Amino acid sequence: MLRHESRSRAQSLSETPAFQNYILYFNDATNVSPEIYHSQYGSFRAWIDNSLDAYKLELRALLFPVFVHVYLDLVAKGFQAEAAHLMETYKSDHLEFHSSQINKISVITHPHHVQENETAQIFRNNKYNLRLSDTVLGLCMNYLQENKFNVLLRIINQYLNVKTETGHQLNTSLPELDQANGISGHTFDELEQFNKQKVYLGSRPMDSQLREEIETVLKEEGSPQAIHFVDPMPSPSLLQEHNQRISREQSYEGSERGDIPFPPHADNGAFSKGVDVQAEIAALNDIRNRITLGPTSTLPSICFYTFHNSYDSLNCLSISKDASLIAGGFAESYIKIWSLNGEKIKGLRSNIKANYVNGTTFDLERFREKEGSEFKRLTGHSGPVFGLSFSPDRRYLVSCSEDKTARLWSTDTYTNLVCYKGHNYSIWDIDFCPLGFYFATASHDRTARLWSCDQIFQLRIFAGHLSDVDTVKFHPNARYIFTGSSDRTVRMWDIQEGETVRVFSGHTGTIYSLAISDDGKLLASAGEDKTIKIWDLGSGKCIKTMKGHQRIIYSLDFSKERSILVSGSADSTVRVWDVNKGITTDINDNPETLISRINMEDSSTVNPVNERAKHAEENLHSDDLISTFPTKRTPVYKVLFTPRNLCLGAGAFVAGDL
Amino acid sequence: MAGFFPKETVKNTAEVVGISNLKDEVALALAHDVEYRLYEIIQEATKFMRHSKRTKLTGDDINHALRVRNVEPLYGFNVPISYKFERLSTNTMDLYYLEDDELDFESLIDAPLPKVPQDVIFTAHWLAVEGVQPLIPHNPTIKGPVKTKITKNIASTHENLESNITEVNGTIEMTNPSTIQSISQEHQRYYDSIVNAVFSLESNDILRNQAFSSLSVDTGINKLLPHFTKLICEKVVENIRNLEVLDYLMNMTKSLLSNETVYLDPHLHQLIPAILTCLVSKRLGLRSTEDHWSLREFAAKIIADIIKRYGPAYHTLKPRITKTLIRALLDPNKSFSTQYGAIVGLSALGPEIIKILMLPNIKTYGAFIRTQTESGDAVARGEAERCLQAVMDALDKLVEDLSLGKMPRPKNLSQQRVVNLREKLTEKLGNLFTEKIYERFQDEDLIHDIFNSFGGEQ
Repeated sequence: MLRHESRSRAQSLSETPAFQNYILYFNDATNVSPEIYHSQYGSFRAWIDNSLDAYKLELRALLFPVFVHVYLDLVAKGFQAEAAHLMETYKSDHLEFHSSQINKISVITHPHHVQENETAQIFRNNKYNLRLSDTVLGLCMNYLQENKFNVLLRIINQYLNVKTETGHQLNTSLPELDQANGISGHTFDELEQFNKQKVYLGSRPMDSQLREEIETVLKEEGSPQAIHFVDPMPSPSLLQEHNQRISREQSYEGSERGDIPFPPHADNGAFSKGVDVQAEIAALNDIRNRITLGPTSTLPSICFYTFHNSYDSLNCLSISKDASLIAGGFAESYIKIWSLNGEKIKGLRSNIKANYVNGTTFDLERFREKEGSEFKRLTGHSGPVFGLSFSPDRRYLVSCSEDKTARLWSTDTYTNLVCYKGHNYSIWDIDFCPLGFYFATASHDRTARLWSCDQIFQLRIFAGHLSDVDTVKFHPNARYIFTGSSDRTVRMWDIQEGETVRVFSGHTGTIYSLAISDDGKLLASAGEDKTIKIWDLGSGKCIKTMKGHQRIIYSLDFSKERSILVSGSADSTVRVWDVNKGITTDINDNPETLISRINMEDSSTVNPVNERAKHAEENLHSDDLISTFPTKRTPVYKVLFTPRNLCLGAGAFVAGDL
Repeated sequence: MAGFFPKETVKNTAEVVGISNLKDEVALALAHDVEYRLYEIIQEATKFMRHSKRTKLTGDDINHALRVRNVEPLYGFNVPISYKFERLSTNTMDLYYLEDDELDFESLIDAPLPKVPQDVIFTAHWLAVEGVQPLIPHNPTIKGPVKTKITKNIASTHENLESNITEVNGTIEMTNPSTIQSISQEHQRYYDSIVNAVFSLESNDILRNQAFSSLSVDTGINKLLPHFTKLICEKVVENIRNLEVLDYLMNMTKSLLSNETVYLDPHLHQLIPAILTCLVSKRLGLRSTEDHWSLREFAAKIIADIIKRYGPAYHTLKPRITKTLIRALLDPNKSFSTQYGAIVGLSALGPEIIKILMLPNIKTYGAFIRTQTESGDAVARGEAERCLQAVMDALDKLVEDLSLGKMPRPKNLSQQRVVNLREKLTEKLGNLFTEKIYERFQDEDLIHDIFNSFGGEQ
């Protein structure tokens, strides 16, 4: 339905001849029943929701003024109950971008309020400016006309001032937040307000019992590792490192424990050298042996894994945190796991009798396969596998697929343990919680969902994106998840509440990759528009935009101390970026100056001259690009830093013509 | 802008299904709808393509998109054949159609099975080492400007590079200016003074030794490793005729290796070829009479050290090096000097390697040496003699390791058995080496033990 009449550019709609036809309906429209308002608005909204991604965002911008006026009409005509019902039903659509206006409007419940209320009068007496592309306007008018939605046509005619631009779609990132939209002279920066909600970014404090156990074990061992190296600069002992970490945790504001339940820590009998304690000690060792990276000190070393003979069927790759396993998901519905440390993969044999498996004396290692194999193949899915994620202890793997299911696999037995059903369409991405136990999925059905490994039903459904949710990532403290979507926004969700707490808008394309720094303060996002944006989670602002990639960006990761960001892209390069360059102040210390700095940047990007200059240098890169490492012809599917700050990359070699 | 989907196509399609006189408005409305549906399918299919990390849309993507939209997929298009529309021009308009070849069942059945595709494998390599992309075959060759020598002034280097970067056709070709920037003044000075102490003509042995010992204990030189590695690699190639410099270079390598605090792993792949050059190169030094033998022995020791230290972590390291050496040894076209290097290299790797890799080949090698010594001139004979000596030394080492002499002698050896022993040993090791062994060890009981330990009569 792309038909539309020729329309002169930037001309008010009511002046065009084609529009005069619509006014014929005007007279009937004045005497309509309240149900008509409700049903017309409802259908209009549903139509927008089902429209193409390319047009949806612009159409959404139309929805808010229409909603306000439908509501005001109802109230003015004395249908209070219907008005209240309308408000209840559709209010949530506009809360992120227009919450204060909605709040002001929703208090209007009586016809003469409409006359008195200041906000209502602003809406009634001024025209609401809206920039739309002519294709979109044509589509919309056709739809309203064909369905004889006279009420809505009248509202658009009477209260909206639509400026059309030629072309298929506008080139703004989020039309709903376009500066040109709204009523002249009355600007409401709603998103900024919305993003001011309190978030707790501190890391999760360690369980006190576990902490004591670790301390005991460390004291007993006296950290013998330190003796091996004759180091002139005595590095801190593990115990010191441990204490440092604890004190760092306590210094974070407002992090209280217990909001998201986790299973109790593993405890192996009387002398507790439990799995968790060992894992924590290993983590401390990693911190101590970490190479400090930075643009002025050491630059990262990147070990790259190239996959051959994949015939375009390798969809995704995931590497375990300890860099011992790599898993690939294939279009042919199976998953393959390879070992990265040169040892053969030895699964548990399947003939273990259940009644042997009891007590602490039982040694599972005896039941491993003698020979082992180069790789393990996991079958179970019935559609292309799009996402994989290892659990932090790498004993489990979760996968998601086009077949609408997520599956949990054991990397001890190399078998499928659980199949999670719930999504209505293909699942695009999956992420294991950094603390284990939970995982999140992102799907074509426009929702992200939270699951725990032990239940087959989802715990939370995060609904709010206007289009596919393409990627999902946990915050390091497991309180929040982040979702990137085809509607060009990133959302931050509170897991406990299931609500959006931040909307990050600014990209001009689908978001395919997210990364959160280990200290939980910065978010990096990238995708179809080939740019990387760094966001400050505290303020919800974009700190900077980094350009240089030539194609879609598939993967991002921060180095452990947050100084360096690496990105992997379809342009077959791994790029290394300086995170702190261009940020004048330290985020931790002085939030005030940071914000003022951002404001400056914001205003500069609006400046059209600056915009043009930016387009001119599109082929160049921003100056925070430290280096570019091209591969031969291997699009980079995955980049990540190990706990010791070694960078790993992986991708599938493209044979033949590009 | 009108829709690109013409109403004629709709009419044609209608005719195919038996509706002959479709009204224009209906056709137009349908055309618009078809176009919209197409957009929809393309949008969904693109999502599947993107998530499969491909840049080519396939039939499978379209089918997935159709399934998402609750439409029955189009079967038979998911094979990786590229379809092409053929054009048929008639006088009124152009028609496009898909070429659908007729297939002959017979030939299809008789056709040989297609080759089994190779399994997915992966390889690992260093894409970057501390911010520098190593020049190894796995990485693409950098077309950019040649890296300026770092011994120059840092500032000017930096400027050069920056100007170079902008020059290269607007494309970004970074040759890692960042690492060069990242060297501090102190590091640069350290580097310069080490280089001066080792290579300068005014330098003397005392200074040199100080430099070597500094390299072996200094804890802060990690950042200079890429530069030292590069220096060693380049200088070895440049000074292949200068034994003295090669000796210094090997000393530097040894010092770096013995330094416990440096992280040399990522540079090994560059260092090892340099060391191997000093070990098995055909000609080292200006004249063949120069004493390049001791340099080779020294290089062999370094290689052995590397394998001892890094072999466990990099499990392909040892097999790769031994393979190179054994190939050098067994190639009759290689010069004696190369063979000598291979022998000392292998023997430095320990008795196990000597036993497994050298012993089985010793007979053929003995025969080869014999022919060479008989035909060759005096120089060649001298060289052959050295090789022979090296093999004997290796055998010595093996014997020593087995500590044969110290074992209690079995008393009941008959004369008969000893005579057989000589024959059998000849059979196993060839004439030359049997003679040599008898010459050296003399004690027949001991030789008997040696024989047994070499694998006995099997």
